[in-house]
Amino acid sequence: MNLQVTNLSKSFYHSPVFQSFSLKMESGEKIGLSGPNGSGKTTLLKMISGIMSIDSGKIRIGENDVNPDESDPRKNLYYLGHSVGLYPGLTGYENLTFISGLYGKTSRNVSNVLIKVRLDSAQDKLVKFYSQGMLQRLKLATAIILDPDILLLDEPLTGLDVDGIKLFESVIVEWNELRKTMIIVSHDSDWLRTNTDRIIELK
Amino acid sequence: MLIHFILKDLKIEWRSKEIITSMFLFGLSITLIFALAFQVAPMLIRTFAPGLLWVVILFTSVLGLNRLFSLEREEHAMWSWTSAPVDRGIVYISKVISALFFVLMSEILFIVPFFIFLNLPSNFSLFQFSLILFLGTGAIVSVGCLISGITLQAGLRDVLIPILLFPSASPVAIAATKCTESLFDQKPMTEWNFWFFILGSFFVIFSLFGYMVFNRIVEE
Amino acid sequence: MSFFNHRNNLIHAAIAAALSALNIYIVLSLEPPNLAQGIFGNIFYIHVPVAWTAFLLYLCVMISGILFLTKKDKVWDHRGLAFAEVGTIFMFLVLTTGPIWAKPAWGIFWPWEPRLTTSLILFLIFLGYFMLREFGGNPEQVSRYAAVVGILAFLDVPLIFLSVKFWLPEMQSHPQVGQYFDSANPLPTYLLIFSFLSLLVVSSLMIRLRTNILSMKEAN
Repeated sequence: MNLQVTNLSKSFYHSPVFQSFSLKMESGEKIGLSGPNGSGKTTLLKMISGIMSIDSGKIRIGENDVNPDESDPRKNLYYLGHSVGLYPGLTGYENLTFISGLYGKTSRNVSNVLIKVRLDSAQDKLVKFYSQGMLQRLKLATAIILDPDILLLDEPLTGLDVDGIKLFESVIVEWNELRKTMIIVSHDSDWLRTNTDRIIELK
Repeated sequence: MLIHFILKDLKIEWRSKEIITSMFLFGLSITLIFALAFQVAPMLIRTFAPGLLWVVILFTSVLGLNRLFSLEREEHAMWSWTSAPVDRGIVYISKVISALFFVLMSEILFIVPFFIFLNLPSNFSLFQFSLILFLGTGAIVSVGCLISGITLQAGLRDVLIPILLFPSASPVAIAATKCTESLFDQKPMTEWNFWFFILGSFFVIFSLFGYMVFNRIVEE
Repeated sequence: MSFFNHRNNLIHAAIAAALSALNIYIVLSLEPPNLAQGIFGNIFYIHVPVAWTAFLLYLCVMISGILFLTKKDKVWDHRGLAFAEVGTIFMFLVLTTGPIWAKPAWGIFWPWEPRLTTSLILFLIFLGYFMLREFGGNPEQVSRYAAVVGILAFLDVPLIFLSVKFWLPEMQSHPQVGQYFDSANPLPTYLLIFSFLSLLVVSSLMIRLRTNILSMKEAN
């Protein structure tokens, strides 16, 4: 599914972060986003995913414009942020079931996916007791279950150990084969160069 | 989808029990203060009791609403549904229902001590009393959930919620007190159904308004 | 200031000043309705039009809020804030002229009269509105929150007024109003209308000035 951003503008405390920013992605394309802290990488992903409002401009997913009144376009998209985005008072299993329900997905595969990301032993533990690496694996599990056409990955390797990084990279290969559109934010330029089609540097 | 969100809130509360417990204990503390403050003129308690009851309910509702919405703020949990294909108005309605349930549960718990400590008679229709509690609480949480949603990402939100809620909910305070006063005086419902109408109108108007605007206020 | 460098704005200001001066002169030189109230009795001709203007301005806050949420044009946010600020100044005048009039007319500074009480509650909601503007966080987010609170405040007005009106049935709205009107003498009616129109001219100048300042700040 293709993604198009046209003339996007956004300000914080009257300081512009984006001014008439445009981006066009073809279906199956992988873009890396890099730039210094405060350059707007996370802001861009949050605006595309609907977490953050836009001041002006348009975001188009496939044939549909994204706006607060129309939730449908977001069913083909998942934002894997570097903040938790999960309920600390629910278990890993419950969080996955809840989120898959939001996207109209069945919870039949939740257990299998938790085994795949090696969280099956912790699935009944409350998320507030998860380590950073476990949280990242849980978020990866969410992305696998939801199986969206567009993935917005914000520093997805943060907190992962060597095994976790290998797991994540294997999942990216699978997503590549399925021609998923991806935007990946990372501070590791070498990793981005190897794993994406092109890099956009935000200033 | 609505049930999905309500069950999520109920599940979290079932485990921690912090919302209902804190509201109950806070309500009990305020009741104690009222009982002590009115010891100089205990015969006046009976006259002021309907108003005092709704003061307790308003104050405990603020606590409950603050805590209910903090669940969404912790670890940015709300991002799970702000980025999902979900009608955010449904999320607002689910919060109203969850809040109504939690506040009513805490009311059931502190109402008995309220009547005992203030030595209030209880020879009135329990059914009518339940209706008043239900509608009055519903009216409070309908505007309260909207205000809590507005202040969700604000600084000073602990202070902003009561500052915005109390004047906005003043028709509820007046109408609920009038209903309760009439009930305690054992007046027939036909004499106070106007106040019931005010509570119902408030509940409906602000629930509809909250449903319409919630999608605009939860975005960062 | 660059606002007053424009000829039209200077003319507007001159007309506002002239009408205000004339208004005050007429009110001060008019014979009061009865000796007991003295000159304070004539404050009626200020208090009532100021109240009309304040409510009209708060209605404009609601309309600006609706337009800002639907059109997302920053101009409506600036206008909404200007209407709220000027409306709150006028509402403060209502709350001060009210007691000044009430003491000689009723014998007490604060009668819990429906319109005055509604004004007080609305004033408190808007103090919360300004706190939200100040402490609500990122100005771009706060604009949306403030729009919702502006709409909420005015949606509440009929409910507040109805509940306060029937809360104390013995307190009727302005029972002494009748003393100002005599069917043979249309002067009081004309004076009220003239006072209201002059206040509209003054308030519109204040709003245009404030909107201009906000827009220039945004541009810089």
